[in-house]
Amino acid sequence: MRRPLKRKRWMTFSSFLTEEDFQLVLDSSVVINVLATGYAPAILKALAVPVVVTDYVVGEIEKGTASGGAESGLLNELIADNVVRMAQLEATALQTFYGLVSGTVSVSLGDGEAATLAFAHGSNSSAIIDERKATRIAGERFGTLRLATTIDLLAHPNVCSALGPGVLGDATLRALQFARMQVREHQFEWVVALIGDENVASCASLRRLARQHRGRSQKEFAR
Amino acid sequence: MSNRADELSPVVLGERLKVARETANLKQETGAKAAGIARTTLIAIEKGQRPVRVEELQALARCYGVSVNSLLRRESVHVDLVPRFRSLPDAGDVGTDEAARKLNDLVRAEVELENILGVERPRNYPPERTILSGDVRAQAEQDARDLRHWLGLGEGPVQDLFALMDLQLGIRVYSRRLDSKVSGLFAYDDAVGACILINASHRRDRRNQSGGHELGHFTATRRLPEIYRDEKYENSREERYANAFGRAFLTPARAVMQKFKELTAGSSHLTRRHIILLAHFFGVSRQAMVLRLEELELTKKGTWDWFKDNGGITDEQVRQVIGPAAFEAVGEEKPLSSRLYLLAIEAYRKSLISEGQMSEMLKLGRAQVRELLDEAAAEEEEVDDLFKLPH
Repeated sequence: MRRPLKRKRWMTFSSFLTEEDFQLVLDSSVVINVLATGYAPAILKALAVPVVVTDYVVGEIEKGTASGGAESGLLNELIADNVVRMAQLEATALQTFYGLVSGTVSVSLGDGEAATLAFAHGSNSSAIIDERKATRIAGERFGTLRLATTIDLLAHPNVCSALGPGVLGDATLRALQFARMQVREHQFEWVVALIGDENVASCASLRRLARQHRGRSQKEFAR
Repeated sequence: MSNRADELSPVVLGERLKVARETANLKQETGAKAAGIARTTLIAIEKGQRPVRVEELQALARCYGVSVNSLLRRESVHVDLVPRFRSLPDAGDVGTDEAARKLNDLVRAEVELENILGVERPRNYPPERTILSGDVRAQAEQDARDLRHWLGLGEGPVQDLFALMDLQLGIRVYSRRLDSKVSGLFAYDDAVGACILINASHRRDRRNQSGGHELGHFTATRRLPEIYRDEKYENSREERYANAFGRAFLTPARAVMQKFKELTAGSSHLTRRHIILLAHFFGVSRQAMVLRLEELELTKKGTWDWFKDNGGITDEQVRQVIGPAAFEAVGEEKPLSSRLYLLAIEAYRKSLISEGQMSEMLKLGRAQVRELLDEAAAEEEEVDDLFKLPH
């Protein structure tokens, strides 16, 4: 049985998402995680704000499905059920997109990432993106664009209360195991508290952070 | 469309659009219709005489099945191997076209990554041979022996044919799941060199046979692209040469004779067990092994036909002789392209490419890309400073 969340550890991290985030634009790097949770409709509905994916992201998920996996079908169900809205880039957003996919490789982004940022920027929405390079470029080009990650979605108070710690823990563990969801350092303890220490070893994307934390604990213990 | 300093010139972009359309095997009318423009406008765009609008670019990229980023990235390289395969007499079906596009995409990704990282693939190609008049099988046998000698291989079995072609000769070798009829593809381009794609769905012995055949093709008919179907009848001298070369390279006459003598010592008859052990030792199929024994007159002509008429040599018999672990190991292969993956991981690690770009370049889903990156990160953490490379 999953252990209950300890109040203290639960408080170590809070979602970046606030009331200011009135519309969320999800990148492929996030969609893949949310679908892997097995609770995508519940999570996205609990957010209680419109959730958008660009047609480029839908296309990328479709292409990924060609190499095995059922993600595209699941995403299309979410769109058909109006849990997620599919949007196309127009006018200004299209020009922004063009700027993000052009230039040398080190300053350009893949179509889905660029479309996510361009649409979010053009519609004053928040971009939910786990990708490091896209996050860096977004910070450099659009200082005011609100950015958050998959973990911010999962740690949103509405999602936490709608799912409860048991289901949320399962959902998070599935995203880690099946989609190898990326976790940032400041999110690590919250994730471990949620999935349980015993499950960390089964999540390849947590290995590096787990090792760093172990090293830090050993040093503190030695003092 | 705006004209920033880092943007491509209309001529370069027009050329890229043309290559993308031809690779997708689409007519100008189709592209023009998708972009909502006249065919003459598309011709002008492809020639660089009229800049493409962003909406048109978006529509064309979608129609051609490529990303806008791959068309606009400065370092992006445009390889046009696909039209060469289409010109072959036996090309044209969906499976071969898809395989040709896969090879084209993989080569393009590898060359772009080399450019991004500033590395070069060393080529160590032996001089090309020509097929002369006379017995092609005898020529192939001689050429295979010469190549083995040139590579310093001696007479033993080839441990890993694909690593040898990739790392020792510098041929671009990939394996991906392809239509079951296609065993392998070969292409050569002055700029990118020799490229081979092998069907990863086939068992190891069949993959080796395809690899050996393509190595023969590389040796004597390097400039000609080829789609190899191993079940097809040998209808040309080139085909016969490449098959004979593959056999001679993988199962060198002297080594086969020696091993045959050792294994059959004390036996009165050639049995299935002998065939299975020999085939496993040389990494070739049971059929290829028996036919080689026939060719070397170590057994009577028609031996393979006899086995076929009498129940064949089954997978179950192989499992019993070589053991279940060894049997499983020769099964279907995970799609591989080791050097391409190494380059992509390095470019990602240096924050030169994003996850989306990596997924598009390698034609892998996000979960597979993350698997590669996690494996690389795990290996990196284990590396001690002692192993730091000097460059």
